[in-house]
Amino acid sequence: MTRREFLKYAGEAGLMVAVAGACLKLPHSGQYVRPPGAIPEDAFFTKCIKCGICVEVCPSHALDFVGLTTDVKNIGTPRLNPRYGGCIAWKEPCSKCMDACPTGALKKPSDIHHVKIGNALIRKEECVNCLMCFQVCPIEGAVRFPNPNGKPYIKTKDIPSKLSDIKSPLKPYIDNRLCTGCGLCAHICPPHCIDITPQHKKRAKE
Amino acid sequence: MTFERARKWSGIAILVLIIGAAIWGFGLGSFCYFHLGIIRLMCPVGFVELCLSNRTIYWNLVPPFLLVIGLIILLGRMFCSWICPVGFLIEWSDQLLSKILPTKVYRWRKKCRIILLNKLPKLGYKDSIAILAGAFAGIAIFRFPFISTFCPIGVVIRNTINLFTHFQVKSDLLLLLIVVFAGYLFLDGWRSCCPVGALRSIGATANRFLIPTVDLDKCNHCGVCERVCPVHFSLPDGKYDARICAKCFSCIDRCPQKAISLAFFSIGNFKKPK
Repeated sequence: MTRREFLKYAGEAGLMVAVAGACLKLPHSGQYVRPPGAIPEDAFFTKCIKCGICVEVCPSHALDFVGLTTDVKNIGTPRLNPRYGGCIAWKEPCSKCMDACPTGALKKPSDIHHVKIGNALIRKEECVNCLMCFQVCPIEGAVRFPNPNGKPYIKTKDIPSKLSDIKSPLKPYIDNRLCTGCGLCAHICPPHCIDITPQHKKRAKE
Repeated sequence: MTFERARKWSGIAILVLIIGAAIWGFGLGSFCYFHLGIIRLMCPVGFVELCLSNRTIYWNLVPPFLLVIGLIILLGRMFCSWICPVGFLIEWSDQLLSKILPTKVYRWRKKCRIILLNKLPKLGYKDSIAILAGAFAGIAIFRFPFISTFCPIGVVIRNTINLFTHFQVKSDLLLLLIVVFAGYLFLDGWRSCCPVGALRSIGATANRFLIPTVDLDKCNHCGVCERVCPVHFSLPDGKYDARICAKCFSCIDRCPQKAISLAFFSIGNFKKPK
């Protein structure tokens, strides 16, 4: 190998190292709701090899891929998108994405009820009081309806119909100590007024 | 059945398999990991990436990785022309372009590539290995498996999955353009710049099976095999390199003298590449 050749190969290899470094240095503000069982965000991108198996096996098709962003390390990683569906892991024993993940980026927890993937927030000004969120929420007491005199209602049948009128100023709200962030309410919500924001921490079981 | 037709059907079968996996969700993914009973296969690039970025060895993925390495030694780079969906995508789009574009424009496109190749330093097998080594070093330093982000197979299959589960494609399909352009700069085309292919070519160095062999008594040196070969090996001159040959066997199909046959095992016509 001549000196010229050596410099060429070293340059090519150095370029690839620089590409890897530059990908991580780009400015970004990416935050994603991960599938349940995802390891912490700062380790997730080192383990996820973007194979897409979790997106494929999800029975409710709730997962999709992060598209082209400046957050290069997360391009192609899975995220929960309530536009397509919500995670049913807290409703029935489903652990398909965690079982299928070959690399351990998604790990099956000992108890799914200790897992929290996000917070839900109802935008009150757009809510029409249809109370669909009460119907689909897998956790009893996570969605609440304010009670002017006493404890908030946690069941639809207890709410007086005059309080839950479409014009009523009272709207349901979500108790984020109990909410798991599954996105089922955000998926079903007719005016799409529920936002899911990612939060990765251990959840206190009720 | 000729090899070309068999390869076409293989491509269609792979396409059906990817779409079926996306619709019914049997966890095929983007060929990173395959699990069927006790047969487990692991993408070698994915495995090396994963071990480097986590700085540990994934012992549970070692047997499927070794199985794939064994298959590469046995079959060479057969994956690249018989299974790789990006290979079929580029091949079929090229066939489509040759049909719908006027001949002049189609030829002009090929001329452009030759002009580009003459202007730029010629990149070949060794460069692809240097690029792969650099990429692995980058992964080990920054702990970010970035090949899987840009992997053409990953980009194509991820978008196919998204198309059939959510009826939309993602903007990261644009990353494919980088790969196709990079392929244009290489002497042997995209086959040697693709990291998945480059790692396979290291394993295929040991490959001695399924090698097209020329019967020099029948050969009349017409040069057809050199023209139809995607990497332009001139077989009667003894130019053959198992590290780059993707075993598409077009040379066997197209030889007008039927002088080329498939040797199951051969150590004969190997020459050191330049």
